[in-house]
Amino acid sequence: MRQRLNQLGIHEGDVLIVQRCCAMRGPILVRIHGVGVALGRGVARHIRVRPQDEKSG
Amino acid sequence: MDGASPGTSGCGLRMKSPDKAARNRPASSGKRVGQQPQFVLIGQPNCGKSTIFNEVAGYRSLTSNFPGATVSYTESRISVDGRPCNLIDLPGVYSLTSLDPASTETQRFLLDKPIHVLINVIDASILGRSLELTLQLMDLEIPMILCLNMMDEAKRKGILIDAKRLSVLFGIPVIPATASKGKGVQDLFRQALKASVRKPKARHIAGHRDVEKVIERLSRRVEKAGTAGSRFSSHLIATKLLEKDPYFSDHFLRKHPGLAAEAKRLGAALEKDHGRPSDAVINSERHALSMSLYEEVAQVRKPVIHWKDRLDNVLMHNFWGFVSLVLILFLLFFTVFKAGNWVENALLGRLSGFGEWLTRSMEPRSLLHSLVRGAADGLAGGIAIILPYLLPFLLGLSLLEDAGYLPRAAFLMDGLMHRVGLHGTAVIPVVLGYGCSVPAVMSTRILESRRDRFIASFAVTMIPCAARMTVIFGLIGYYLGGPAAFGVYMLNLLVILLTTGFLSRMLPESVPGMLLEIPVWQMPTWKVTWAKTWMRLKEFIVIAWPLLIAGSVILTLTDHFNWTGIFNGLARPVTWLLGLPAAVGTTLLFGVLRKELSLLMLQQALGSPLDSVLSYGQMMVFTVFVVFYVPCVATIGVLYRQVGVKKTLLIVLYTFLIALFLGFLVRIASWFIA
Repeated sequence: MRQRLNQLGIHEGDVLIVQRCCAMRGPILVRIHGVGVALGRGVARHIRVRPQDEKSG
Repeated sequence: MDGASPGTSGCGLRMKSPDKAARNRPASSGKRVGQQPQFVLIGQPNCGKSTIFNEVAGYRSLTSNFPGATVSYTESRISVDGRPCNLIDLPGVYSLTSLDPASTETQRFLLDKPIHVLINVIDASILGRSLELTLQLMDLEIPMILCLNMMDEAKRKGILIDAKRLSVLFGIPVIPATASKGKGVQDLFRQALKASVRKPKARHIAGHRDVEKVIERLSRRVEKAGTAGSRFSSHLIATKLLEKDPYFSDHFLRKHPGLAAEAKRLGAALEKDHGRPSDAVINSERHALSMSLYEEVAQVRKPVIHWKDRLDNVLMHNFWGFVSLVLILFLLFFTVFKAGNWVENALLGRLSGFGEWLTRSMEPRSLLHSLVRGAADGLAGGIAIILPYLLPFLLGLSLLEDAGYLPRAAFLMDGLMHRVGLHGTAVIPVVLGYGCSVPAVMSTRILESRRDRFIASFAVTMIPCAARMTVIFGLIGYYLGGPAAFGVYMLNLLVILLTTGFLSRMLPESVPGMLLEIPVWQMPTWKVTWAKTWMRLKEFIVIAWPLLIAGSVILTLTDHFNWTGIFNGLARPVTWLLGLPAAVGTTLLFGVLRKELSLLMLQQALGSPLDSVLSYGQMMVFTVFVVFYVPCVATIGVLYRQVGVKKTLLIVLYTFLIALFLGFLVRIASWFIA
C-alpha cells in the first residue's frame, strides 16, 4: 500500500489538497504535485494528515 | 481499455502485432536484432507513449488514457530516415517495482529481451514524479534517451523546463515533444537512431551517502554471488532487494541464500537507522532526488486556467457528475441505436436483393444453393447488423477512453459499485462489456485482487454485449418498442447487481480500495482513436464474421440435410420449458458460437416477419434467455485464461440456469399480461 502510494507520488511529508469527496461514501480526489489521484475510503483512512499549511502522509 | 488490447493472458508477454509482416517474424532473434535497431518506449501510465507509437507506426497500437490499460505490449516496424527499425511500446509503469502484472511483465521484458535504445517518455507536466522511474531506468545501464512529452501541457501548468540542463545532468539526450500534435517525434527517433550507435550511458546520480553506502555494500555482495546472464546492474539489483521487490527477491534470492541473509541484515540496519521500513527509505530517497533534480531544471510560474480544469467542476461534481455520466452513456447508446438503425435499414433492403439475385440462377433446393444462400446471409448479417451498431459504439468508447473519461467514471461510480461488491475501477470492464465481452473480460486485469477480477468477469459476461444488443434492439426494440428494450436492460442490470452482491458476500476479503490516477483531460486525436476503434473492429471482422458466415452455412446445411430435427430435439427440454417453438432450439444451440447469430438464425428458422410466428410474449422470453444464457465461445475462451477452468464452468452453468429461470418467469408473466 505504501509503495503504491509512493508510486503515485504520495510520500510522507508531502502537501496534498483534498479536492473532492465523492457522494455515497465514494473516493476522495486529492491533488498532489499537480496530479489528481482518486483514493478509496479504505486507502484514505490509512493516510494521516495534518491541517494548516502542511499535511503529511 | 485495455486491458482492452487483445491477445494476452494474465501473465507472460505475448507479441501483439496486427501487421502481417511483424507477426511472421520471431519475437526476438539475435540475428535480426543485430541488423535492426530495437527501440523500446517506456514510461509512466498516461505519459503519451502510445501516442508517440501511433504517430510513427500508423494504426498499429492500442493506446488508452486509463492507467494500466495496455498490459500487452505492441510492436511495429518503423522507418527512421529510411532506416528500418523495430519499435516496441511497453505497458505504462509507475516504477520498476513489480506491484502489478504490468510492471512485472515490463521487468521481465527488460531482463531478457534485446534492447538497443530505451526511450523513456516523460509527461513533462509531472516531471517531478516521472523522474523517479527515470532514475531507476538509468540503473539498467542500457543506452537511453529521454523524451519530454506533453510540453504544451507543462507550459499551460506554468512549468518551464530546461531540457539542456537536464541532458547535462543525466548525460543523455533529452528531446522535448508534444506528441499529440506530432511535434518533436521525428527528432526523437533521429536521436534514438544516433543513440543506437553512440550508446549514451546515463550518469549515475547518487543520493544520500549513508543509503548509498548500504546499496554499494549489497551490490558488491550481489556481484560476488554472480549475476551472470542478467541484464540488470548489481546496483539496481541491490536497490531492488532492499526495496523488497517481489520479482527481484524471487529471481535472485532463491538461488543465493547467502545473499538473502545479507540483504536482510542490511535492510534491517537501514530500517534501524531511519526508523522506517527499508523500502520506504529507498523510495523517499529516490523521491527526494527526483524532486531536487526537478527543482534544478524547472521553473514554476502561474498556471493558465484552462477549460480542462473547469470541466472537472461539472463532470466530477457530486451531483452534476452523475447527471453527466448518465447523459453521456445515454447519448452513446442513443447515437448507436439511431445510427445503427438508419444504416441497417438502408443496407438491409439492398443486401436481401443481392442475395436473391445471387441464388436466382441456381437450382432451388440444391446443395450449392443452400451453401451460397447461407454464406450470403452471413455476409449480409455481418455488414448490415454488426457494423452499423459496432462502429459507432466502438468509436464512442474510444473517444471517451482517449479523452480520459473512464477513470473519472470509475471515481464517480466507486461508492455505488462498492455497495454491489465491485470497485469503481470495475466500471471500465462493465462499460466495455456493453461493447463486447471479450475485451471486457480481458480488461478486468486492471483490478488488483483475483477475487475482484472474478466478480467483475462474472458480471461482465452477463452484460448484454453488442451482439446481444442486436437481439434486444432487433427483436424487442423493433416489434415491442423502445421502452420494452429498456426494460430488458433494467432487468439485466438488476440480476447482475444481485449476482455481484451475492458473490461479494460469499467471497469476503479486505478491500484495499481505489488508488487511481485521474489524468488530465486530453483532446482525443483521430489517429489514436481511429487506430483503437479499427483494432477492435478488426477483431470482429476477423474472428466474428467468418464464424458468422460459417454458422450461417451450417444452419442452411442443417436445413438442407434435415438435421434441424436432431438439434431441435436436443434443445427441446429448454424450448418446451420456455414455451418456444421447437424450431428455436437450433438457434439457441448455435447462438453459443456467436450471439449475433441468434437473431439471424431465428429469422431463418422461423421465417420473417417474426411477429407472424412468435407472440410478443415469446419474443420477450427468447430475448431474456439469449441475453443471459452461456457466454459465447470467444468469451468462454478468455474467461478460461483469466479465471481458470472451474470458475469458467461455474459461470457457464450459472448463466444457463439463471437464463432458464428468468425465461420461465417471463413466460409466466406474459400469461398474466396477455
